[in-house]
Amino acid sequence: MTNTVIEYRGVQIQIDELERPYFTAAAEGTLLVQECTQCAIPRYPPSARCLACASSQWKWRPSDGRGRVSACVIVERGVRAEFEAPYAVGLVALDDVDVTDHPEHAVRILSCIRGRDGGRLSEPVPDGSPVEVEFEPLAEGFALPMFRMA
Amino acid sequence: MTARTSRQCAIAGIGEVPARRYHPAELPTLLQLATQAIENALADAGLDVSDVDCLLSYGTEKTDSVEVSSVLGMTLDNYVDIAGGGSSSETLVSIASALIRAGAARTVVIYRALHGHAGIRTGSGPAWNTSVQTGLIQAYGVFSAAQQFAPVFASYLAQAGATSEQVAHVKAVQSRNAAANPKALYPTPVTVADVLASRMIVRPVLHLLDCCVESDGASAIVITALDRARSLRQHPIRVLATAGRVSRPSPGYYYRGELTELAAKRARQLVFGPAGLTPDDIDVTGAYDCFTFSTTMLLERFGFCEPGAGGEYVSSGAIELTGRRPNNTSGGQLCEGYTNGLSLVIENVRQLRGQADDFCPDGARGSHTYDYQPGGCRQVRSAEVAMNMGWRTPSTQSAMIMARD
Repeated sequence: MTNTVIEYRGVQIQIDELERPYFTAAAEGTLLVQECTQCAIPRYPPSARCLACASSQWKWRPSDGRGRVSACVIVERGVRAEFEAPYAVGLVALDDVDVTDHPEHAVRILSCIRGRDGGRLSEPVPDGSPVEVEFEPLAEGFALPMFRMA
Repeated sequence: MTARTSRQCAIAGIGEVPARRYHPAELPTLLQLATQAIENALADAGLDVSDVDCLLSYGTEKTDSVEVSSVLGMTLDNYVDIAGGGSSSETLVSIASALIRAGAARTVVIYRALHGHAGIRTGSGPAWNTSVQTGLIQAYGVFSAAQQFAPVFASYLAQAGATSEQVAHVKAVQSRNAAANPKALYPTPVTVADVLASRMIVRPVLHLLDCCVESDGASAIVITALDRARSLRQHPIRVLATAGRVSRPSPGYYYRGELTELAAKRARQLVFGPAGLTPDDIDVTGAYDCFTFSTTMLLERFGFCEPGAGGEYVSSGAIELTGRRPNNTSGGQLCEGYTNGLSLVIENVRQLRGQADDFCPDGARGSHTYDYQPGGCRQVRSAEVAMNMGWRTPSTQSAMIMARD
């Protein structure tokens, strides 16, 4: 078991073997989604077993990183020097992850939400607003998916 | 009542060190706060430290049971310190009752002491190791409880059609309750307009006055078997049913399932059924108020109003001292002080005893004016049954129903 710990803005991100491809693919500009090869239900965060059928067989599949944001909020009072307020946080559902047949397995990614120009949002954006992925470098060979207004 | 009286448990004593924001030079240690609250609760029950055979505590920075029992000279048969946070109070009452019924404990003290103001402020403690599997929230700037829960609250507003103005009534009502509580840290009434005009913590949901206070203080309660409690100093308050740390189906609430679904959906079945009661039977509530929104959502999801009507319920007058079912009558954690819910249990014990420690001249002897002006009475008329609801996160809740013996 090879684990990597990367410090990012004062936060220790611990990356194990299962998670490693998620971050290394991000460094190459690809957002990966984990999908069960037994029941085809996608999942996030990554886990060793399918939360729907408990299978431990899965694969990574690329997403084009386009999605819709919901529950967007603006943090106005920061509590850490590394995260200067205001900044937006929201939940992103990916357009190419189809959960129409099993809505209880909807995939949502919690992320900072940046403006179209990569800058700060000063007001929450409405549910359903389109976003697209971008990648924040973490360390050589690793990056963190992040979303901006499309 | 379905439970057999002989096996029921009761809260026999309550004690606290009222919440303050201490100057560092005057700050009591956590151990001093914990032991003082415990001694006060035992004195209230008419018991001695030598009677205690079990300690249960939570959020134990420097006040775990070994330290507290050493200082107080207790010899324990059972002690358990659990990771802290909201929902701990009702959970530990549940464990205490089980230990007493099983014959493994006779006199249990539950306590919580914290330096919520003088110590580590919310969200500013050491960052924990975070992985994408455990929820990569800190890397996206989500640290404090306000930051963690705000997306759920925003979604609740959108779905339920509730308004910030409705939810702000929770603070306004509790501030008026606090004005009748000599212990309250913030005893000055505020209006709904004051809440909405206070600075934003997380837009659009949490203004400063939607958030609980950060304070230094301690709370403690004593639990024993009902038949024994009947021979002690205070009128016993029976524990009718408890549900401790109940989870919703997808505990990682951001990622899967319905974002605003609470564990309350399950927890309510676990308490109302065994107690043989419905929400209609409850006279007083204590709904966890880390935020005005948690109180609103809990009251709705535990069934005190129709689904989606939480905002309407808390702004209807129902939760006021003059209303159908007063809530957080001490001023709660939004005004009185914060001990992760145990102070809300203490308040409801006082209400059921008829001993709210308000400004009524003969209040201490159980004689109240029922004049609910600020600086007056906060005792609820004929309070027979009370319910407390705990909240750790949107996906973890607890609950307890108590009744006057």
